[in-house]
Amino acid sequence: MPDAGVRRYRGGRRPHLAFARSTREFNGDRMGGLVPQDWRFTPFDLHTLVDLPLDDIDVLYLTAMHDQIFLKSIEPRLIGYLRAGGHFLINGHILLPWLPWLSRFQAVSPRPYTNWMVRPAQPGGYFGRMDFSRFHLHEGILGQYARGFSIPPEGAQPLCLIGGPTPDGTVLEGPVDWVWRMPGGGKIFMHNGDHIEQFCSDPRLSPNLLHDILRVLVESDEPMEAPTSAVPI
Amino acid sequence: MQDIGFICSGDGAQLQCFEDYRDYLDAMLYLPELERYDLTAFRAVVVPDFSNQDQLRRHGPRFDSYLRGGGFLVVFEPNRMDEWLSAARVQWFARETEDWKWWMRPGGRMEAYQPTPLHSMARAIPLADMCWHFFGAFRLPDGAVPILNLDGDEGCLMYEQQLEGNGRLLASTIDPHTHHGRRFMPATTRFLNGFYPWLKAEVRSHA
Repeated sequence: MPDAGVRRYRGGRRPHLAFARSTREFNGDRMGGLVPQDWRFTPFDLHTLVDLPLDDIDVLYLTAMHDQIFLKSIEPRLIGYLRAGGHFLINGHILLPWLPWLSRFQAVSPRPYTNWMVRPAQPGGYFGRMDFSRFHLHEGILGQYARGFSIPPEGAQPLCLIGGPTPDGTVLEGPVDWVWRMPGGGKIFMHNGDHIEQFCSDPRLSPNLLHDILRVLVESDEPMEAPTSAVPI
Repeated sequence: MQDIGFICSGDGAQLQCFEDYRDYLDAMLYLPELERYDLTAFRAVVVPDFSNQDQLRRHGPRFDSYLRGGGFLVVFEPNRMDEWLSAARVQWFARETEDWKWWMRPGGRMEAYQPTPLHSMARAIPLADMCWHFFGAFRLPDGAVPILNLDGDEGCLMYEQQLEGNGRLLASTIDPHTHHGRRFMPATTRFLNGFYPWLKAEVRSHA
Protein backbone atom coordinates (compact mmCIF):
# COMPACT_ATOMS: atom_id res chain seq x y z
CA MET A 1 0.00 0.00 0.00
CA PRO A 2 1.29 3.46 -0.77
CA ASP A 3 2.03 5.78 2.09
CA ALA A 4 -0.80 8.08 3.03
CA GLY A 5 -0.52 11.31 1.14
CA VAL A 6 1.71 9.90 -1.58
CA ARG A 7 0.50 10.90 -5.02
CA ARG A 8 0.84 7.90 -7.29
CA TYR A 9 -1.52 8.84 -10.03
CA ARG A 10 -2.52 11.99 -11.87
CA GLY A 11 -5.73 11.69 -9.89
CA GLY A 12 -3.89 11.53 -6.55
CA ARG A 13 -3.70 8.48 -4.35
CA ARG A 14 -6.03 6.54 -6.60
CA PRO A 15 -6.58 6.54 -10.34
CA HIS A 16 -9.25 8.78 -11.80
CA LEU A 17 -11.48 7.80 -14.74
CA ALA A 18 -13.42 10.58 -16.44
CA PHE A 19 -16.38 9.25 -18.44
CA ALA A 20 -17.39 11.47 -21.33
CA ARG A 21 -21.12 11.49 -21.87
CA SER A 22 -21.71 12.17 -25.53
CA THR A 23 -24.28 11.56 -28.25
CA ARG A 24 -25.64 8.75 -26.19
CA GLU A 25 -23.82 6.48 -23.80
CA PHE A 26 -25.14 2.96 -23.80
CA ASN A 27 -24.16 2.32 -20.19
CA GLY A 28 -24.36 5.87 -18.91
CA ASP A 29 -26.19 4.95 -15.76
CA ARG A 30 -24.21 1.77 -15.27
CA MET A 31 -20.61 2.96 -15.56
CA GLY A 32 -20.40 3.97 -11.92
CA GLY A 33 -20.87 0.31 -11.07
CA LEU A 34 -18.48 -1.00 -13.70
CA VAL A 35 -15.42 1.13 -12.96
CA PRO A 36 -13.48 -0.34 -10.00
CA GLN A 37 -14.83 1.04 -6.76
CA ASP A 38 -11.37 2.02 -5.55
CA TRP A 39 -11.02 4.44 -8.50
CA ARG A 40 -12.33 7.95 -8.68
CA PHE A 41 -15.12 8.15 -11.24
CA THR A 42 -16.37 11.36 -12.83
CA PRO A 43 -19.02 11.46 -15.55
CA PHE A 44 -19.11 14.69 -17.53
CA ASP A 45 -20.54 16.14 -20.75
CA LEU A 46 -18.06 15.63 -23.58
CA HIS A 47 -18.53 19.16 -24.84
CA THR A 48 -17.17 20.62 -21.59
CA LEU A 49 -13.77 19.22 -22.63
CA VAL A 50 -13.16 22.54 -24.30
CA ASP A 51 -11.98 23.92 -20.95
CA LEU A 52 -12.33 21.08 -18.44
CA PRO A 53 -9.18 20.72 -16.28
CA LEU A 54 -7.44 17.51 -17.36
CA ASP A 55 -4.49 17.49 -14.98
CA ASP A 56 -6.01 15.04 -12.49
CA ILE A 57 -7.47 12.58 -15.02
CA ASP A 58 -5.73 9.24 -15.55
CA VAL A 59 -8.12 7.71 -18.09
CA LEU A 60 -10.37 9.66 -20.40
CA TYR A 61 -13.13 7.26 -21.46
CA LEU A 62 -14.88 7.87 -24.80
CA THR A 63 -18.04 5.93 -25.59
CA ALA A 64 -18.72 4.39 -28.99
CA MET A 65 -20.99 7.37 -29.76
CA HIS A 66 -18.56 10.18 -29.11
CA ASP A 67 -18.75 13.44 -31.06
CA GLN A 68 -15.77 13.26 -33.42
CA ILE A 69 -16.36 16.66 -34.97
CA PHE A 70 -16.08 18.31 -31.58
CA LEU A 71 -13.00 16.32 -30.52
CA LYS A 72 -11.26 17.21 -33.79
CA SER A 73 -11.89 20.86 -32.99
CA ILE A 74 -9.91 20.58 -29.73
CA GLU A 75 -7.19 18.24 -31.01
CA PRO A 76 -4.21 20.26 -29.66
CA ARG A 77 -5.68 20.17 -26.17
CA LEU A 78 -6.11 16.40 -26.35
CA ILE A 79 -2.55 15.93 -27.63
CA GLY A 80 -1.38 17.97 -24.66
CA TYR A 81 -3.25 15.66 -22.30
CA LEU A 82 -1.55 12.63 -23.86
CA ARG A 83 1.88 14.27 -23.78
CA ALA A 84 1.42 14.98 -20.09
CA GLY A 85 0.81 11.30 -19.35
CA GLY A 86 -2.96 11.00 -19.55
CA HIS A 87 -4.46 7.89 -21.13
CA PHE A 88 -7.35 7.47 -23.56
CA LEU A 89 -9.75 4.54 -23.71
CA ILE A 90 -11.63 5.01 -26.99
CA ASN A 91 -14.60 3.00 -28.24
CA GLY A 92 -16.23 3.21 -31.63
CA HIS A 93 -15.69 3.61 -35.34
CA ILE A 94 -13.36 6.47 -36.15
CA LEU A 95 -14.48 8.31 -39.28
CA LEU A 96 -12.78 11.59 -38.50
CA PRO A 97 -9.41 10.85 -36.86
CA TRP A 98 -9.27 13.41 -34.06
CA LEU A 99 -5.76 12.52 -32.90
CA PRO A 100 -2.79 12.11 -35.25
CA TRP A 101 -2.43 8.48 -34.16
CA LEU A 102 -5.97 7.40 -34.99
CA SER A 103 -7.07 6.15 -38.40
CA ARG A 104 -10.34 5.43 -40.13
CA PHE A 105 -12.36 2.36 -39.30
CA GLN A 106 -12.25 -0.47 -41.83
CA ALA A 107 -15.02 -3.06 -41.89
CA VAL A 108 -14.07 -6.68 -42.52
CA SER A 109 -16.16 -8.97 -44.69
CA PRO A 110 -19.13 -10.28 -42.67
CA ARG A 111 -19.00 -13.48 -44.72
CA PRO A 112 -17.96 -15.99 -43.60
CA TYR A 113 -19.40 -15.06 -40.22
CA THR A 114 -16.33 -16.52 -38.54
CA ASN A 115 -14.51 -13.38 -39.71
CA TRP A 116 -16.14 -11.71 -36.69
CA MET A 117 -14.50 -14.16 -34.27
CA VAL A 118 -12.05 -12.17 -32.18
CA ARG A 119 -8.65 -13.80 -31.92
CA PRO A 120 -5.65 -13.00 -29.75
CA ALA A 121 -2.74 -11.12 -31.30
CA GLN A 122 -0.55 -9.95 -28.42
CA PRO A 123 -3.21 -9.73 -25.71
CA GLY A 124 -0.75 -9.04 -22.91
CA GLY A 125 -2.21 -8.06 -19.56
CA TYR A 126 -5.15 -6.33 -21.22
CA PHE A 127 -6.85 -9.44 -22.65
CA GLY A 128 -4.53 -12.16 -21.32
CA ARG A 129 -7.11 -13.57 -18.92
CA MET A 130 -9.97 -13.68 -21.43
CA ASP A 131 -11.46 -16.83 -22.91
CA PHE A 132 -11.34 -15.92 -26.59
CA SER A 133 -13.98 -18.49 -27.50
CA ARG A 134 -16.65 -16.45 -25.74
CA PHE A 135 -15.70 -13.19 -24.00
CA HIS A 136 -16.78 -11.12 -27.03
CA LEU A 137 -20.18 -12.77 -27.56
CA HIS A 138 -23.35 -10.94 -26.54
CA GLU A 139 -26.03 -13.42 -25.53
CA GLY A 140 -24.31 -15.82 -27.90
CA ILE A 141 -24.35 -13.35 -30.81
CA LEU A 142 -21.18 -12.88 -32.82
CA GLY A 143 -20.40 -9.43 -34.19
CA GLN A 144 -21.87 -7.22 -31.52
CA TYR A 145 -18.37 -6.68 -30.14
CA ALA A 146 -16.93 -5.36 -33.39
CA ARG A 147 -17.02 -5.64 -37.19
CA GLY A 148 -13.67 -4.22 -38.13
CA PHE A 149 -10.43 -2.59 -37.15
CA SER A 150 -8.21 0.44 -37.67
CA ILE A 151 -4.55 0.63 -38.58
CA PRO A 152 -2.61 1.52 -35.42
CA PRO A 153 0.36 3.88 -35.35
CA GLU A 154 3.96 2.72 -35.50
CA GLY A 155 5.01 1.01 -32.32
CA ALA A 156 1.51 -0.03 -31.24
CA GLN A 157 0.76 -3.40 -29.69
CA PRO A 158 -2.00 -5.25 -31.56
CA LEU A 159 -4.08 -6.93 -28.87
CA CYS A 160 -6.89 -8.75 -30.71
CA LEU A 161 -7.53 -9.55 -34.36
CA ILE A 162 -10.68 -9.65 -36.48
CA GLY A 163 -11.36 -10.42 -40.14
CA GLY A 164 -10.44 -13.04 -42.71
CA PRO A 165 -11.26 -13.98 -46.30
CA THR A 166 -13.26 -11.62 -48.50
CA PRO A 167 -15.51 -12.53 -51.46
CA ASP A 168 -12.75 -11.66 -53.94
CA GLY A 169 -10.40 -14.19 -52.36
CA THR A 170 -8.15 -11.73 -50.59
CA VAL A 171 -7.77 -11.61 -46.83
CA LEU A 172 -8.65 -8.54 -44.82
CA GLU A 173 -7.90 -8.68 -41.14
CA GLY A 174 -6.50 -6.28 -38.61
CA PRO A 175 -6.35 -5.30 -34.95
CA VAL A 176 -9.82 -4.72 -33.52
CA ASP A 177 -8.13 -3.69 -30.26
CA TRP A 178 -4.73 -2.05 -30.00
CA VAL A 179 -2.77 0.04 -27.56
CA TRP A 180 -0.05 2.58 -28.20
CA ARG A 181 2.21 4.48 -25.84
CA MET A 182 3.55 7.90 -26.64
CA PRO A 183 7.25 8.33 -25.83
CA GLY A 184 7.30 10.06 -22.47
CA GLY A 185 3.52 10.32 -22.48
CA GLY A 186 0.29 8.41 -22.00
CA LYS A 187 -1.37 5.57 -23.87
CA ILE A 188 -4.17 5.25 -26.37
CA PHE A 189 -6.30 2.13 -26.01
CA MET A 190 -8.46 1.80 -29.13
CA HIS A 191 -11.45 -0.54 -29.32
CA ASN A 192 -12.84 -0.42 -32.86
CA GLY A 193 -16.31 -1.56 -31.99
CA ASP A 194 -19.23 -1.16 -29.65
CA HIS A 195 -19.01 -0.37 -25.95
CA ILE A 196 -16.29 -2.63 -24.58
CA GLU A 197 -17.67 -2.42 -21.06
CA GLN A 198 -20.61 -4.46 -22.32
CA PHE A 199 -18.39 -7.53 -22.56
CA CYS A 200 -17.20 -9.65 -19.65
CA SER A 201 -17.12 -6.53 -17.47
CA ASP A 202 -19.90 -7.00 -14.94
CA PRO A 203 -18.21 -6.46 -11.55
CA ARG A 204 -19.42 -9.90 -10.43
CA LEU A 205 -17.30 -11.52 -13.14
CA SER A 206 -13.74 -12.59 -12.66
CA PRO A 207 -11.62 -12.21 -14.65
CA ASN A 208 -13.10 -8.86 -15.57
CA LEU A 209 -12.20 -7.28 -18.90
CA LEU A 210 -12.76 -3.63 -18.04
CA HIS A 211 -10.92 -3.95 -14.74
CA ASP A 212 -7.99 -5.68 -16.42
CA ILE A 213 -7.76 -3.04 -19.15
CA LEU A 214 -7.89 -0.16 -16.69
CA ARG A 215 -5.39 -1.72 -14.32
CA VAL A 216 -2.87 -2.43 -17.05
CA LEU A 217 -3.37 1.01 -18.58
CA VAL A 218 -2.39 2.84 -15.40
CA GLU A 219 -0.15 0.32 -13.63
CA SER A 220 2.04 -1.21 -16.31
CA ASP A 221 4.66 -0.22 -18.84
CA GLU A 222 2.85 -2.29 -21.46
CA PRO A 223 3.19 -1.59 -24.34
CA MET A 224 6.73 -0.38 -24.78
CA GLU A 225 7.05 3.25 -25.71
CA ALA A 226 6.65 3.91 -29.40
CA PRO A 227 9.75 5.10 -31.24
CA THR A 228 10.12 8.84 -31.24
CA SER A 229 9.64 8.76 -35.02
CA ALA A 230 6.02 7.86 -34.30
CA VAL A 231 5.42 11.31 -32.85
CA PRO A 232 5.46 13.62 -35.84
CA ILE A 233 4.39 16.70 -33.98
CA MET B 1 -33.72 25.51 -52.14
CA GLN B 2 -32.00 22.25 -51.30
CA ASP B 3 -33.65 18.87 -50.87
CA ILE B 4 -32.36 17.10 -47.74
CA GLY B 5 -30.41 18.29 -44.71
CA PHE B 6 -28.91 15.61 -42.46
CA ILE B 7 -28.60 16.41 -38.76
CA CYS B 8 -25.35 15.00 -37.35
CA SER B 9 -24.26 14.73 -33.73
CA GLY B 10 -20.69 13.82 -34.71
CA ASP B 11 -21.06 10.13 -33.93
CA GLY B 12 -19.11 7.72 -36.16
CA ALA B 13 -22.21 5.88 -37.38
CA GLN B 14 -23.87 9.13 -38.44
CA LEU B 15 -20.71 10.31 -40.18
CA GLN B 16 -20.61 6.98 -42.00
CA CYS B 17 -24.23 7.27 -43.12
CA PHE B 18 -23.67 10.78 -44.41
CA GLU B 19 -20.81 9.48 -46.56
CA ASP B 20 -22.74 6.45 -47.76
CA TYR B 21 -25.85 8.40 -48.81
CA ARG B 22 -24.07 11.55 -49.92
CA ASP B 23 -25.71 11.32 -53.35
CA TYR B 24 -29.08 12.01 -51.72
CA LEU B 25 -28.02 14.39 -48.95
CA ASP B 26 -27.34 18.04 -49.67
CA ALA B 27 -25.72 19.06 -46.40
CA MET B 28 -24.61 17.87 -43.02
CA LEU B 29 -26.06 20.05 -40.25
CA TYR B 30 -23.87 19.70 -37.15
CA LEU B 31 -26.34 19.59 -34.30
CA PRO B 32 -24.36 21.43 -31.58
CA GLU B 33 -24.06 24.37 -33.97
CA LEU B 34 -27.54 24.23 -35.46
CA GLU B 35 -28.00 27.98 -35.05
CA ARG B 36 -25.53 28.40 -37.94
CA TYR B 37 -27.97 26.90 -40.44
CA ASP B 38 -31.20 28.03 -42.03
CA LEU B 39 -33.41 24.95 -41.87
CA THR B 40 -35.94 26.54 -44.19
CA ALA B 41 -33.39 26.15 -46.98
CA PHE B 42 -34.15 22.41 -46.98
CA ARG B 43 -37.28 20.67 -48.23
CA ALA B 44 -36.67 17.88 -45.72
CA VAL B 45 -34.55 17.58 -42.57
CA VAL B 46 -33.60 14.17 -41.19
CA VAL B 47 -32.80 13.62 -37.51
CA PRO B 48 -31.14 10.19 -37.39
CA ASP B 49 -31.60 7.73 -34.57
CA PHE B 50 -29.41 8.08 -31.48
CA SER B 51 -28.84 11.80 -31.87
CA ASN B 52 -27.67 13.89 -28.95
CA GLN B 53 -30.82 14.38 -26.91
CA ASP B 54 -29.44 17.28 -24.86
CA GLN B 55 -28.72 19.14 -28.07
CA LEU B 56 -32.11 18.26 -29.54
CA ARG B 57 -33.80 19.73 -26.47
CA ARG B 58 -31.67 22.85 -26.75
CA HIS B 59 -32.65 23.31 -30.38
CA GLY B 60 -36.26 22.13 -30.09
CA PRO B 61 -37.70 25.55 -30.98
CA ARG B 62 -35.77 25.56 -34.27
CA PHE B 63 -37.39 22.28 -35.29
CA ASP B 64 -40.79 23.61 -34.19
CA SER B 65 -40.32 26.70 -36.29
CA TYR B 66 -39.24 24.60 -39.27
CA LEU B 67 -42.33 22.40 -39.04
CA ARG B 68 -44.70 25.32 -38.52
CA GLY B 69 -43.19 26.97 -41.57
CA GLY B 70 -44.10 24.02 -43.78
CA GLY B 71 -40.96 21.91 -43.49
CA PHE B 72 -40.78 18.11 -43.73
CA LEU B 73 -39.15 16.77 -40.56
CA VAL B 74 -38.10 13.13 -40.31
CA VAL B 75 -37.18 11.89 -36.83
CA PHE B 76 -35.96 8.45 -35.88
CA GLU B 77 -36.02 7.34 -32.26
CA PRO B 78 -34.80 6.83 -29.64
CA ASN B 79 -34.56 10.60 -29.64
CA ARG B 80 -37.63 11.17 -27.45
CA MET B 81 -39.08 13.83 -29.73
CA ASP B 82 -42.08 13.89 -27.41
CA GLU B 83 -39.81 15.79 -24.99
CA TRP B 84 -38.55 18.53 -27.34
CA LEU B 85 -40.98 18.87 -30.22
CA SER B 86 -43.99 21.14 -29.64
CA ALA B 87 -45.22 21.80 -33.17
CA ALA B 88 -46.77 18.33 -33.23
CA ARG B 89 -48.18 16.28 -30.41
CA VAL B 90 -46.15 13.08 -30.27
CA GLN B 91 -47.21 10.34 -27.89
CA TRP B 92 -44.37 7.87 -27.50
CA PHE B 93 -44.55 4.97 -25.09
CA ALA B 94 -42.10 2.31 -23.95
CA ARG B 95 -42.48 -1.03 -25.67
CA GLU B 96 -39.65 -3.53 -26.08
CA THR B 97 -39.28 -5.80 -29.06
CA GLU B 98 -40.84 -9.09 -28.03
CA ASP B 99 -37.81 -11.13 -29.03
CA TRP B 100 -34.86 -9.19 -30.41
CA LYS B 101 -33.35 -12.47 -31.62
CA TRP B 102 -36.44 -13.38 -33.67
CA TRP B 103 -34.29 -13.55 -36.80
CA MET B 104 -32.41 -16.52 -35.35
CA ARG B 105 -35.58 -18.60 -35.01
CA PRO B 106 -36.86 -20.70 -37.92
CA GLY B 107 -39.87 -18.84 -39.32
CA GLY B 108 -39.29 -15.97 -36.88
CA ARG B 109 -40.75 -12.51 -37.48
CA MET B 110 -40.87 -9.14 -35.75
CA GLU B 111 -44.36 -8.39 -34.49
CA ALA B 112 -45.20 -5.68 -37.07
CA TYR B 113 -47.00 -5.20 -40.40
CA GLN B 114 -47.56 -2.53 -43.04
CA PRO B 115 -51.19 -1.29 -42.89
CA THR B 116 -53.13 -0.95 -46.14
CA PRO B 117 -53.53 1.07 -48.19
CA LEU B 118 -49.77 1.16 -48.17
CA HIS B 119 -48.06 4.48 -47.56
CA SER B 120 -45.81 5.41 -50.48
CA MET B 121 -42.75 4.57 -48.36
CA ALA B 122 -44.13 1.11 -47.65
CA ARG B 123 -44.58 0.65 -51.41
CA ALA B 124 -40.88 1.49 -51.81
CA ILE B 125 -39.55 -0.55 -48.88
CA PRO B 126 -40.80 -4.08 -48.19
CA LEU B 127 -41.75 -5.17 -44.69
CA ALA B 128 -38.69 -7.39 -44.40
CA ASP B 129 -36.48 -4.32 -44.77
CA MET B 130 -38.26 -2.50 -41.95
CA CYS B 131 -37.87 -5.26 -39.39
CA TRP B 132 -34.98 -5.75 -36.95
CA HIS B 133 -36.04 -4.20 -33.62
CA PHE B 134 -37.51 -0.92 -32.37
CA PHE B 135 -37.36 1.54 -29.50
CA GLY B 136 -40.85 2.05 -28.17
CA ALA B 137 -43.97 2.87 -30.16
CA PHE B 138 -46.36 5.77 -30.78
CA ARG B 139 -50.05 6.31 -30.34
CA LEU B 140 -51.20 7.19 -33.84
CA PRO B 141 -52.27 10.87 -34.00
CA ASP B 142 -55.61 11.75 -35.52
CA GLY B 143 -55.28 12.06 -39.27
CA ALA B 144 -51.81 10.52 -39.42
CA VAL B 145 -51.05 7.77 -41.93
CA PRO B 146 -49.45 4.64 -40.45
CA ILE B 147 -46.50 3.14 -42.29
CA LEU B 148 -45.54 0.35 -39.90
CA ASN B 149 -47.76 -0.90 -37.07
CA LEU B 150 -47.38 -3.37 -34.27
CA ASP B 151 -49.51 -6.47 -34.64
CA GLY B 152 -53.05 -5.93 -33.45
CA ASP B 153 -52.55 -2.17 -33.81
CA GLU B 154 -51.05 -2.14 -30.35
CA GLY B 155 -49.06 0.91 -31.40
CA CYS B 156 -47.42 2.49 -34.41
CA LEU B 157 -43.71 2.23 -35.24
CA MET B 158 -43.71 4.67 -38.14
CA TYR B 159 -46.21 7.24 -39.38
CA GLU B 160 -46.56 10.42 -41.36
CA GLN B 161 -48.61 13.35 -40.14
CA GLN B 162 -49.69 16.42 -42.09
CA LEU B 163 -49.69 19.54 -39.93
CA GLU B 164 -51.27 22.94 -40.20
CA GLY B 165 -49.20 25.20 -42.42
CA ASN B 166 -48.23 22.29 -44.72
CA GLY B 167 -45.65 20.92 -42.32
CA ARG B 168 -45.06 17.17 -42.43
CA LEU B 169 -43.70 14.97 -39.66
CA LEU B 170 -42.43 11.48 -40.31
CA ALA B 171 -41.85 9.68 -37.01
CA SER B 172 -40.10 6.34 -36.58
CA THR B 173 -39.02 4.15 -33.68
CA ILE B 174 -36.75 1.94 -35.78
CA ASP B 175 -33.06 2.85 -35.81
CA PRO B 176 -31.46 2.16 -39.21
CA HIS B 177 -28.59 4.69 -39.14
CA THR B 178 -26.92 3.37 -36.02
CA HIS B 179 -26.76 -0.17 -37.31
CA HIS B 180 -25.96 0.58 -40.93
CA GLY B 181 -23.28 3.01 -39.81
CA ARG B 182 -21.79 0.37 -37.58
CA ARG B 183 -21.90 -2.25 -40.29
CA PHE B 184 -24.24 -4.50 -38.36
CA MET B 185 -27.65 -5.84 -39.45
CA PRO B 186 -28.06 -5.92 -43.25
CA ALA B 187 -31.80 -5.15 -43.05
CA THR B 188 -30.93 -1.64 -41.86
CA THR B 189 -28.79 -1.10 -44.95
CA ARG B 190 -31.60 -2.33 -47.18
CA PHE B 191 -33.96 0.05 -45.40
CA LEU B 192 -31.74 3.08 -46.00
CA ASN B 193 -31.11 1.99 -49.60
CA GLY B 194 -34.85 2.33 -50.08
CA PHE B 195 -35.48 5.25 -47.75
CA TYR B 196 -33.19 7.92 -49.16
CA PRO B 197 -34.21 7.44 -52.82
CA TRP B 198 -37.85 7.50 -51.66
CA LEU B 199 -37.33 10.68 -49.62
CA LYS B 200 -35.46 12.39 -52.45
CA ALA B 201 -38.23 11.57 -54.92
CA GLU B 202 -40.90 12.58 -52.41
CA VAL B 203 -39.49 16.06 -51.77
CA ARG B 204 -38.84 16.55 -55.48
CA SER B 205 -42.44 15.67 -56.29
CA HIS B 206 -43.58 18.44 -53.93
CA ALA B 207 -40.99 20.95 -55.11
